[in-house]
Amino acid sequence: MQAESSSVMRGVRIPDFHRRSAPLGFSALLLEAVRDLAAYRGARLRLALAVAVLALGVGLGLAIHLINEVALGEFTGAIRTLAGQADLSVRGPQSGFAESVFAQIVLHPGVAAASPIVEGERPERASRVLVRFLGIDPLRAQFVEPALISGRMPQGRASKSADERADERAEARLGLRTDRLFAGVRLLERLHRSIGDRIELLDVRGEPVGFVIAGTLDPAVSALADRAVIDIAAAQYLEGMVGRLSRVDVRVRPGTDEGQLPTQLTRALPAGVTVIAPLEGARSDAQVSRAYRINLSVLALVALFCGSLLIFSAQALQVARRRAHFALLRALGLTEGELLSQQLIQALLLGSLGALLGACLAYGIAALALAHLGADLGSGFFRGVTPSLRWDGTATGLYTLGGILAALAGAALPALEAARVAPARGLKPGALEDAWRPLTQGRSVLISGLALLFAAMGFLLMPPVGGVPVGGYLAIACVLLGSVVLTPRVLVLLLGVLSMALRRRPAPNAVALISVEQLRGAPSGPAVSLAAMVASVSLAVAMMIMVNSFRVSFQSWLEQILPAQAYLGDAGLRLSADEQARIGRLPQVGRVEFLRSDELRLSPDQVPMMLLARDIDPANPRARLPLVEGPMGAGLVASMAAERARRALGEGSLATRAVPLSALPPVWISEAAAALTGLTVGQFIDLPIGGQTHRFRIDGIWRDYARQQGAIVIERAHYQALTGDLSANIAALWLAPAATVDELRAALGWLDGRSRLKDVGSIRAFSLTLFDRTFVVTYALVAVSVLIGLIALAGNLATLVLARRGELSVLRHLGVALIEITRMIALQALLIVLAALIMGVSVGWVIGRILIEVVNRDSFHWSMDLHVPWGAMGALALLLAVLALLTGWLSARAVRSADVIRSVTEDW
Amino acid sequence: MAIETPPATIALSAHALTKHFGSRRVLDGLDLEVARGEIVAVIGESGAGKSTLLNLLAGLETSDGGAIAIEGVDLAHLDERARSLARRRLIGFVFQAFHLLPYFDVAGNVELPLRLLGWPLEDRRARVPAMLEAVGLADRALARTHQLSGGELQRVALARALAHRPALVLADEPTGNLDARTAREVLDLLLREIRANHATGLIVTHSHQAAMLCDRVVRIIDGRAFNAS
Ligand SMILES: Nc1ncnc2c1ncn2[C@@H]1O[C@H](COP(=O)(O)OP(=O)(O)O)[C@@H](O)[C@H]1O
Ligand SMILES: [Mg+2]
Repeated sequence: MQAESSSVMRGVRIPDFHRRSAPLGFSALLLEAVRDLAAYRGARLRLALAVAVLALGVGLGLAIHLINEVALGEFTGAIRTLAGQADLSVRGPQSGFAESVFAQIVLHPGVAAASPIVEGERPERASRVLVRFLGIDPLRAQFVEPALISGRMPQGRASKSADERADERAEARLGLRTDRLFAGVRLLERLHRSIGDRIELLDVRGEPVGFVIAGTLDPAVSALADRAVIDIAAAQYLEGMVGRLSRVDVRVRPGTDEGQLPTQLTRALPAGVTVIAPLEGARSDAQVSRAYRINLSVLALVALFCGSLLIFSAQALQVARRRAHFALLRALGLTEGELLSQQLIQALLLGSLGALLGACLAYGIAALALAHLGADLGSGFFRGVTPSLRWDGTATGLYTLGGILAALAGAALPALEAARVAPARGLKPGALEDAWRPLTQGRSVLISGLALLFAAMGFLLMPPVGGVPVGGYLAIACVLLGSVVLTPRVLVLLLGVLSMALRRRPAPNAVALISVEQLRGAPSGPAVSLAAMVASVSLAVAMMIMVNSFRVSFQSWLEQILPAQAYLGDAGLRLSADEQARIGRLPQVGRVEFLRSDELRLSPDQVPMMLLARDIDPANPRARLPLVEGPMGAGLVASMAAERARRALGEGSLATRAVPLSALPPVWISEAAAALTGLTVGQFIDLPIGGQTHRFRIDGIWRDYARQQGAIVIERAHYQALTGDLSANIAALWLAPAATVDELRAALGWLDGRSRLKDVGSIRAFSLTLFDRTFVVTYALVAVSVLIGLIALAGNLATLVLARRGELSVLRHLGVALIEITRMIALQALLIVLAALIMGVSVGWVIGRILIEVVNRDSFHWSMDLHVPWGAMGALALLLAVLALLTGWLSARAVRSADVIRSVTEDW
Repeated sequence: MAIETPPATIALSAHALTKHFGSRRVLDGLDLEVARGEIVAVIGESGAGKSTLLNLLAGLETSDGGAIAIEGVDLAHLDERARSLARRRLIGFVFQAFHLLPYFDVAGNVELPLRLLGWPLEDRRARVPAMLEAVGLADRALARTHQLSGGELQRVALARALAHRPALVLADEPTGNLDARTAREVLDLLLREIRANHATGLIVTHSHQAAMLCDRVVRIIDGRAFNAS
């Protein structure tokens, strides 16, 4: 106590609050708060770390938001520019729809203008650069998407009159002949070509088609920077879509009922062709990535929560240690309210510092991430969007405020505690513990902790809201909070058991007994940092379990979904029937299966699903598809998931569709498709194929980690019968005995580089690399969680030793050797870590299960098998234990100083 | 720096002890011999080096020169661990501010030195109640320390200091925190128990009256010890 009060004495000025006549103003309190912060001894590092974690939470959260805004902004911006003044857009499957549909649309009385478009992507012959292009009819496009005909001719020079420029544009338009190509500026750079050069694009058959680069697209329109505009006939030829269109953009005649038009039009259109508002389409595309974004934002919230816990533990220990100081301040005339505000102002200062640092960090992280990972944070969404960072005042303000509030929340309880210290109360041993007794013994704490855990169970049954697993997230929050609240109780329980076990032994080790009894006698200090450790360990464990389960499931999925030895092709490749036969006849090929993929629009407000027409044996689909057991998986959790899906879609939608089905052809739908349609095995599904609706029987549900929008597998023979389309995109190849992939690749030379044969190993390796990239942020957060746990522990031990140097000094007087004191503190550190591991692993296991069974199912509609990473978790436990011993040893070194021996003269 | 083997009757001997803190010389060639069973009062102004002397005798601080022997054991020649073990066995401490450990009850505090020395259970079971009986606190064995008054706390501390039958009891202003009446009671008890346990005592005190109750009074002036009476 003398040390504390003399530290006040040693201060430059002893505040004399008695002399004032009025309450202290804010600026005076601010001054006191800063002065008081400056007096934090030994806890400075701890405070700095708390601020750093807070900054990290704000930084990550805001960065994720900024990156997403950029990505979404670019994405919708691109759609907006490309759609121009179109009010509606008519879209069909990826394979397009018949040109005759255009006539139907343009003749509709409600349509003022319509512009047909063919979209595609073909490689340039020399450089292999993929060129994304829009095939347009310039005469029609000028009324609907004027940005598309903003091409500049090469003679274009600065300082021209508006008339001259308009003339040039007209020239450019009229000059859009089938062999002309207008390129975006960035595309031109990637091609290393300039205006006037000739390039050749490879068509679907692999034949080169020549173009002259006639000019550039308006560089002011960023959405066009990476694209090319060509004549629609050329585009149809390149894509093998002669007589077919990808979409038609429509301007509605003024005075037409815009609400009615889409329905009227859709009725007249063939099956699978729908009418959407262009921006709505963009929105539902963005929807696909939303779950991923929310997932990341929740992780950022978790970081904020941990920062708040750290502030709490720093402040709580500080208050406990400096009760005498606060008593002195109160005795000097500081009122309870003033002391409270002083403490809160400190939190405000720390919070503001952390939040501002975090905001700066956010822009740094966002810029870095955009530069290295792209706007999709490596997830693969928003492909082809090239972003640039923008200042976002509102979001920055909100996240900064969030950080400050987290700091205030963390400091509130300790501040109240500080304010309640009785003025100049003599500090009897044990008085300090009394203050925190509610944490370890209070009934209300126990009840609220248990209530939170019960609430978590309730939230697990909640259906997802708009595709977002709100219930799952709330359940995780409840489990986390509940366990943090219960941590002190559990610690006391564990220590009690340990103490009893020790005392039972005839001659217990005195040092071990003292270690345990010391913790047990004053558990609040350790409990506070234990709470932070439990939170961080459980989050680390939860994420490790989730990511490992996902990764192992993903790996075995890759093996099932890619059974062949080598693969050829992609969505852009067209192998004709002749070519397929030719591949089949190659001596290096033992067996080959083909796949034709397309996109199907099941409803206007949904992202198109993938249709995969492939060679598959209906009697044994399991040989080719990773079918999940039963309708929606197995067991309680799966039926809970099914229950949630049913509630989300509305009751009864399943029951009404059940019908005798044996005559229908089979399809196998992915988990995502099942969740999005609400359909399951044994029901029928109507699919718009080849412009007509056909009915199929759902024979199985398979696991698909690749297509979040849903995928449907049908027999290729059946697809060919319905569409007459004999082409294929992808060939799965099994080698003939003694043949090698390299030999096969050489034998496929006649494909002339339209597609390169890949061996299955490299595809799997590449997929795993992508997978790991997606979880980069998660891995980083696991590391941060562990770091937070260690910070909490190290800070706690240092404070503990400092607060107990008197007791330790008495032990030295009683003949306890320094090495024994060191062992004692190390043992205590180990006990705390052990408790943190016991609780953290159990809580982490629960949260991990929730992530797997609820959050992932509801967000992404995919299931995974539980795979606990025992090795990694063991390593984590070992690491924590070693670091605990190390921090214990380091903290114990403080006891060696003569200062500690002398502290028996203090009245502690 | 071997010192000649002390006579069997000498419990404690210090020879030419010096101790500096920085440039400040606290002890300057202090000599002190205490016979077995003798109780010596150490007096001196605040800052004279009384506590420093006790710490040196207990091997908690190291001297800059001179030699110390407790019951023939030369602490300077032991390593830290052995010194701690010797202190554990030979010395009992009483502090001004009591310093009981709050996480043990009264009996637990008294039992602590016995546990540290590895006394078997039955011996502890016999010794702890006897000590509490001796200091008049037999009925408070299970009380927590924060439930006791200052006088009671110091009496528990006496029991702790003597429980393991140390050869030497070092008390640093044991009555400094107590009112006059309680101080007298505690002091009487301390002297009685030291004698009852055949120990030797070194009691630092500011009270002239207390000093008078001891067998001999030593005053520390300018870092040296002088017999005073
Ligand atoms: N660890 C230390 N560092 C520096 N000076 C010390 C230390 N311990 C004691 N002193 C000084 O040594 C002198 C003697 O102290 P002490 O033995 O405690 O005196 P007292 O006779 O009052 O018990 C004092 O001036 C004190 O300030
Ligand atoms: Mg002293």
